Amino acid sequence: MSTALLQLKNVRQAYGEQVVIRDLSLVLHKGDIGCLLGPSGCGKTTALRCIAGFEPVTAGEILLNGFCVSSADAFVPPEQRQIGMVFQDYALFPHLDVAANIGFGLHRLTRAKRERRVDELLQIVQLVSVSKKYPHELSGGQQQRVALARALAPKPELLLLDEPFSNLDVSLRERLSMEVREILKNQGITAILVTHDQAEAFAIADEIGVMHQGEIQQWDTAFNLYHRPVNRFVANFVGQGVFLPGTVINAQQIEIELGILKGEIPRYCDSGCKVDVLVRPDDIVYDDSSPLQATVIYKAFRGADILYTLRLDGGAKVLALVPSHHNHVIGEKIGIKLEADHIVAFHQSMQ
Amino acid sequence: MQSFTQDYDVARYLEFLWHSLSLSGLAALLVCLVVITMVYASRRYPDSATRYAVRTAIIGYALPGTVLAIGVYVPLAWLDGQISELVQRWLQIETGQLIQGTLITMLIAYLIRFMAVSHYPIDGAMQRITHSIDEAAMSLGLHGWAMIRKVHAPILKSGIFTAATLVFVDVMKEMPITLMTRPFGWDTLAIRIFEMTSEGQWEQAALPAVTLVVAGLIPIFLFMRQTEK
Repeated sequence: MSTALLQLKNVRQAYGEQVVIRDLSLVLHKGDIGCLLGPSGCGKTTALRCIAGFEPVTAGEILLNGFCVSSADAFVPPEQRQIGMVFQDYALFPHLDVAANIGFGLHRLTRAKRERRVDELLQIVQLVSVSKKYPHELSGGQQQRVALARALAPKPELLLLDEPFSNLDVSLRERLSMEVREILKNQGITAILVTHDQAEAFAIADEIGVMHQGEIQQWDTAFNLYHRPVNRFVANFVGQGVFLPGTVINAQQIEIELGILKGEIPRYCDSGCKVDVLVRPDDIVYDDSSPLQATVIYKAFRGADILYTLRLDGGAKVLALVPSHHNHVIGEKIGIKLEADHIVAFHQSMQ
Repeated sequence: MQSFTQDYDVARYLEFLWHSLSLSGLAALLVCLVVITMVYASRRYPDSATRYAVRTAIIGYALPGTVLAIGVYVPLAWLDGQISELVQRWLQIETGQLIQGTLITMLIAYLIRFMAVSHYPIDGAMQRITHSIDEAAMSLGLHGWAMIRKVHAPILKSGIFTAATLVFVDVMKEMPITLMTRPFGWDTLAIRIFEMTSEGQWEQAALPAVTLVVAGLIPIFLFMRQTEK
């Protein structure tokens, strides 16, 4: 078990009556990349700013390497925390060139050491050729990498990234997020990322906390968030899918309109009890020979796949992700079958 | 040419020039200092009260020079009267006029008039320093004066320089306020031009006038250089 580098214990943050973070606890180990994922206004950016020391906490405490940096009555100022941060707008210094931006946090080093470290970082983020350019002469992706290099230069204990890819176009976003993960992993950096984009969270983070109304709903791996969400909010927010009403038959089986689901039922309730079952688009498989038919009511072409919205004979709608050579028109009936590995079901009275 | 140098008093021209330059320089310095303070205040306290205070402060640009001069003179004369009465009562010393008819009156009037001129470039430069730039500097270990010196000052520099140049040239050319609030006999180039032309002595006004035109060209050259960059 590695040591906990960052620990948040019941952190609360409020402006007067307005509570931004209700009760936030998390543990991040050295070398891990964590992520706070949530819709806008869920408190994730405020949480990050509390860790950086730009916002005080109202209650609870934040520990860095076991040492309390923020609590209701203790506060280490941001410039003494040794936490690097990559800002959403990058916040590069407009009056300094790329090399000087990267070297900005190295003011305690000698000139030679500083230059060596800047060169090293220019190599890592592959910006050697633009080291003498100014921020306004760079593309968005380059600016982002300068911001990353600048934050990494003083070898911070912890790196914070606030929606680092939101200002980039989608194709660049994917490539850069993989590059960033690789850099962080190679350098052994412990980091926390904040984002509303789950693809980004899945691409970069080892562990993800889904936030809603100032609380972490679930702190888990991407796989578990998708396949074993603990509540309806997580189930809805992560991935796509619909809830279908179902009835529990026994500890291993639930009956829904599409057939009988077999598997471990989390939070089992007695047979006969009414539940809502989450059906993901990848749980429904295209099968021409299937007796089960559904009508195409909407289709979204996605390249490799088509995401169909289907209406079952009973009136319920489901989503199905089908390889894109099975091209059907709206109104057509297609054969489907259910193929789910994980059962996600919530009691109908449960939120 | 010989008659020109004979007729023309070079020493007096230099005196006018010195008055114009020192007055403009002092005004530029004062206005920029006040406006920098103002801009920092509205950055630190971005509420509506500060916003209205700043708007009120820069409204002086709309006042005609003569109106502003009298508007400044009346309260200062009253203040002067109060001070000298107090001093006389307590210390039995005749103070005379302390503020009226001194450079202080002129500078206060210029400040009210030209804050708007320098507010725009300095505020514009300040807008470039986003809050996340401050926070980035903090997360890299800087705060307080070191941050102002290494981050704010270099970013604000060109805005302050533009503002100072504008105020400097505007004060050089300013006439009504200077005429009405100057210390007795304290003439500037602009006053000289006004006096000589109203007496029909055109040739006497020529050199001061050329000087002002040249001074007025400075900011145009500076702006051209800046936009080229």
